[in-house]
Amino acid sequence: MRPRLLCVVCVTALLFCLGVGLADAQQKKVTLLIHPTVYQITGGETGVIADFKKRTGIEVEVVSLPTIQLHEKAMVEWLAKSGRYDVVTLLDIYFNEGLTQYVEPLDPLIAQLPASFEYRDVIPSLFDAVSAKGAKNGMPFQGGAVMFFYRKDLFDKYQVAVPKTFDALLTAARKVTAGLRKDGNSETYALGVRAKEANVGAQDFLVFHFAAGGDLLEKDNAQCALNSPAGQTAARLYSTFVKEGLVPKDLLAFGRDELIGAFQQGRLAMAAAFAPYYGLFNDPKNSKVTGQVGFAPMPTASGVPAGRSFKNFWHMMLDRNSKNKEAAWALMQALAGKEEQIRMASTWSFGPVRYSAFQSPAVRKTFPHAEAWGQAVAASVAVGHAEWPKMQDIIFEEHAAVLGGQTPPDQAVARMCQRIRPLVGRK
Amino acid sequence: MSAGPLVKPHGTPSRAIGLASERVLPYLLIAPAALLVGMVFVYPAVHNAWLSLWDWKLTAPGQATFVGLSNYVELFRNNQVFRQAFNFTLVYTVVTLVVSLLLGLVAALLLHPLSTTRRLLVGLLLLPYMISPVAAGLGWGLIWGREFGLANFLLGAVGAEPVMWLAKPVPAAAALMTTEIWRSIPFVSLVLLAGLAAIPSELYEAARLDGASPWQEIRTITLPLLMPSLSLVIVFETIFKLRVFDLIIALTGGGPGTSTHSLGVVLYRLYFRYFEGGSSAAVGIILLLLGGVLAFVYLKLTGEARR
Repeated sequence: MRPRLLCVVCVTALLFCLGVGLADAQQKKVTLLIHPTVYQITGGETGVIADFKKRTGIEVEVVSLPTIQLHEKAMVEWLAKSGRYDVVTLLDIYFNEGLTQYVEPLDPLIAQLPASFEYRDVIPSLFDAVSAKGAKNGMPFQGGAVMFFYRKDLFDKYQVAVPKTFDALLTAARKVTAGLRKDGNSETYALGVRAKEANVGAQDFLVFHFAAGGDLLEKDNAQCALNSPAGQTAARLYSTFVKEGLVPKDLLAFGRDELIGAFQQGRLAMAAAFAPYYGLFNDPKNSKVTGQVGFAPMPTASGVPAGRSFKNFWHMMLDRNSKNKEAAWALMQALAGKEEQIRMASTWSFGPVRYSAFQSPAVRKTFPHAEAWGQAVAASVAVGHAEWPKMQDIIFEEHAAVLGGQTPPDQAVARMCQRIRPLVGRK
Repeated sequence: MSAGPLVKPHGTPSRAIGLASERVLPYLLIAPAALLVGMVFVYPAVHNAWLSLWDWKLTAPGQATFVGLSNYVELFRNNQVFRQAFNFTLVYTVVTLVVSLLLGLVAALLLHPLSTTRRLLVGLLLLPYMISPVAAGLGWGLIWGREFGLANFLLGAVGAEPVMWLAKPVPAAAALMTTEIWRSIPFVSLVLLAGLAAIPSELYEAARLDGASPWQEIRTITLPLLMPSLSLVIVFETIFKLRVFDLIIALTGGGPGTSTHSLGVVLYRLYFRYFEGGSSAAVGIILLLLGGVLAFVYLKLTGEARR
């Protein structure tokens, strides 16, 4: 009888230990929802996330999705209160007060941060985009403004100066196109912009609208500001790009992947893209134009500050229903940490959120345009509204009608405002 | 010892019980199935119809307002994308249905009667149907590509200009419909092949003896006797095509612009992007009614034709 009892006790103890072990292992696993490009510029599978795993023993399951799908997935899981993604990286444009019910307010956690984190080094204004009623709901992670990329070799060959104004941009695009066609090259286009998906199409319209001095809403946020001289300038400019064949012929099927691929393959002379694309365009593994990529502030209309364009930042949000909050917060601290931010910026052209990263000699060495970049971020415009997903679709639909030749540019911006007006006051 | 009556007289309690149980038994037998159907179809459909009468956002479920039929009115009157998607879905359904039926019928007639070689061909024919719509969409995306796509390569081989298949509304719709037809033909031809196999060969022999031509055989024997299979295919395919979603997302993403948005894509957009529960439920009900009405009309017409 005794040996049997002993056996039962031993088995129970073993199962208990195993259970504790499993529970412990479960506690040390964090799921991170992130955009594929952003994941790539953290160093991907061999970057800072992998180092975090090694250092802390916390497993990180990375789920990567494109912007729109990422937002949808995050919302569905938040609504279901599933706690599926412990840390969600979300673009500030999608943040609104309603989301505060799903994410953990970070102020109490920030108050307990160790001095070594150097919290004051994180650009304070970035917190504004994800704050509601005085509470911070996200930790700034990565981002920047849309910048102007160009091929140094083609600019030298066709004797084109880096454009600073819209007029100079048009001249440059025409000159490069003429040169390319004369050389028998019909597959390389002057300018790469995106219009395949709603989010990137709307964004790239706003890049030119902001560069023309416009805003999404009036200063008091009570009126749509797209039907303005700036909006008309942007829409007309796009119409000219299409009519003169300065942008890819299949622009409405030209998205993020197509833009990256075309630039890497040498089939674009210029592009308007977010700053971290610098690393992708220059990637020696995939790019044929490594070392030939120039980077400058976006050309603007006369009288508009240099580099004024569209900016957005990714923020890390901690799910209120996460079962691994401690580990998730540790991951957030690591990804926003000073050392990691500098490493990501200097190695993979990551868009840092810390002052120290912009000033770091390591970043300036590998990324000589850090100063111009910082200035462009300061001059650029961020958008954010509870009805942003709808506004984005409206802007895109009307913009696409201009690109498809169905609507005249001025009429398109008028229609944008006509359709956006009922949404403006909603919270 | 006296034996009881072999047949119980009418009106006794046990007879009454027997009659009652005879009446109840069928209901009892179908009750589990009815309950299951009620749970998985009737309740969700009725609940969805109820939800479509409310203005509610998933992000603010506590602030729902009863609006009656306003969601429907709003969709038809003010939602340009919905109206466009409604028209696109109807055109898409009709075109792909008619072409798949014709090609499927031709394939079935060519494969009938089944021999060993033809059985192999049927196996091959099934391949497109086995591929998931998302995989088919992504695969065909490579075929329709402007620069490196097979379609433009073939056009180039005959000296034609390349087409921007996915960047212009009409070519994008054509590309989408071609892909859908390619996917549908196996199902159509398989069902019709089964229908053809069920037609007695004596009828053809008799017709031939009477001097009927092959076309007369098809018109007077094959098609009328194939009507049950045809109506089945039409009803199923109509429903499949009306609810098209995954193929569009994978191939065109609903673009260029919103030109290839179907009702399914609009429903998805309203629910998952805007979190508008009421409006998306209304789209679901419209889709359900559309499928139901079309199926009813087909069944009625084919039923009359059979009579």
